[in-house]
Amino acid sequence: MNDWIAAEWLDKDARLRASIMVPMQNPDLAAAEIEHRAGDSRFVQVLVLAGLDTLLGRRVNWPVLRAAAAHRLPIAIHAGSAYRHPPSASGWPSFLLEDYVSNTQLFAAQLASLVSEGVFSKFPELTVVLAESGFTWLPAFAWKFNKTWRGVRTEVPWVTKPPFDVIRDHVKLTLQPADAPADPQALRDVIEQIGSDEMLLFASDFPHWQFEGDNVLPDGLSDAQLHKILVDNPLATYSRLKEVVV
Amino acid sequence: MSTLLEPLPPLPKTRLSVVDCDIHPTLTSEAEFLPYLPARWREHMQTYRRHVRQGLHGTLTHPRMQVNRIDAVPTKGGPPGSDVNFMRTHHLDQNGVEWGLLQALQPSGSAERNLEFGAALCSANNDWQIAEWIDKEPRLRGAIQVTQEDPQAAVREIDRRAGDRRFVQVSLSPRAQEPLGRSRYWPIYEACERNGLPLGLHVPGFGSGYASTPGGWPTFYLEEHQTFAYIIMGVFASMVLEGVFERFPGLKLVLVEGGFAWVPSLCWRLDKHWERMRGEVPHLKRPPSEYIREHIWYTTQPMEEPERPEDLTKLIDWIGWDRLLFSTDYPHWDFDDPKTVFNVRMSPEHRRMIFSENAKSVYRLP
Repeated sequence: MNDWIAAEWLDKDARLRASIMVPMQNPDLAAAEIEHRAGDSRFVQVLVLAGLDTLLGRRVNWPVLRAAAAHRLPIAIHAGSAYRHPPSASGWPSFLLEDYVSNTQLFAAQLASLVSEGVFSKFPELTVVLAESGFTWLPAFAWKFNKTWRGVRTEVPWVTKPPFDVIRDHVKLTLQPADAPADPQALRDVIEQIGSDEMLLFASDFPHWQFEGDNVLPDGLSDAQLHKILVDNPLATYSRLKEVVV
Repeated sequence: MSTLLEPLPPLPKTRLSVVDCDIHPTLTSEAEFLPYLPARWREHMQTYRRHVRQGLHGTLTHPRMQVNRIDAVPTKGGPPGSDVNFMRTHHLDQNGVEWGLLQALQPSGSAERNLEFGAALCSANNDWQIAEWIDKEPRLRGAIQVTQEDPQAAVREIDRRAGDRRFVQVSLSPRAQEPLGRSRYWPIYEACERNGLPLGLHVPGFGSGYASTPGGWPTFYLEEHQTFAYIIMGVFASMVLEGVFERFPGLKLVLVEGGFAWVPSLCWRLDKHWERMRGEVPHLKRPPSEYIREHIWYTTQPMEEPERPEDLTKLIDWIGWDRLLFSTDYPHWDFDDPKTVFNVRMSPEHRRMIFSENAKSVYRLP
């Protein structure tokens, strides 16, 4: 897969960059694939599905996280699941719509796992990108996460500051799908609640059916915010882009 | 610790009337419960024990922690929440509780794999609530516990109890064998609607055996506590998308202990993707958020606390001030104190709505 991407896509258009696909069912082999590809700077991140065999923060997965951090490769967690576990704690929903909507619970569970297990204390240079995650769910999740942490933080002594602050330091989210109402003020409110202008990255999802067509940018963002989302934040997230982009 | 267990000095009653929609009564011991079971099931309980979808009966799924307030241990001994007299002075009187809604989660029939035994456990639980709690404290109200995996038995139990107005809702596990919107559970919703009883779903629930997150089992209680929201979000989407509220327009759904800050973003997400994929759910005549706005209420505890308190006001503006029902979760550790939990300015009218009037309206309490 990674060979094919390099030969059929990266070699043919110099603007494209790729993700290193890894077999998360075997963390040692996944880490070896990262080591094998890391020399090719056209691979700018490691890609995993949101739904894996185990939650990503669990220590069995640390060889992968360690290899990614060592090569300054962000880990991108993309919507979707290998369905080792059902999409809800009550089993398998009837509709594709239901599965798709429920992806936010999966992303939240991954963030809870990464933070609680102390991944960002162990690998302080690691960045995690949530791809096709939506982002309006983040503040509500992080507020509750902060509150529980205040109550039970002795359980995770390596989490030394509020989880939302850890997330702001280490996590990026792609813009699409912007699950926001027509009223642009609601989107502005959510972005203020996220409390950082460095977390959102532009994405189109082309050519999937969630692709927004010509309407790739939601209403309600200022020019300065757009510049961060479209240019500055991706360049800061993917240090390997700077090697060729002037 | 001993100082915490001293008898509490009398406090001035808070002027605010409180309806507490989530109070947990606890058994002192199994021996207290056995007389409520028929002889056949008493013998079964003692011989075969519970048969549930986890390794050790009588335990909570890992990860868990000590879940009670230390100061809620009754003066006469026994577990927190096991003594109605202590609860009366320590909680109901102290916090000005006008009505307290019991969530008698244990012993749970909803997790039992032997369905007939599950139905017997629920029925015994309902008798126990009346005899040990509601008969002794008139401010308390019960929830009819039913096992959702045997809908016919659940309907019989609802119809048998509905005449007793001290039961104000029906309760089953939000962690069912299948997503709760599916039609196998509809006879229960028909019975709720017919009897004018709201359906109250208290997280995290017992029963399904599936991992508490869609990515597998978490390691820490810190993570597990977040799953309360994921579990209830799954139920929320299922009930709406399967068309439960189209079919049962009189059904009221109360989501207990699942939080509420996630409601706006999940509504936006449901509406947005429904627009694109509505061909898959042609039984929905309106955007998902419209059913949600009319049919679903949320208890407040454990309340998400925005970093900027004023964001709480915006959230409730969006969800609806008529949708929130105050709850404490007494005697659990993450109890929300009615005197301090809202750190934003609220109008007296909004305060009355959330602390008592909304619940009185949903549950038809005087």
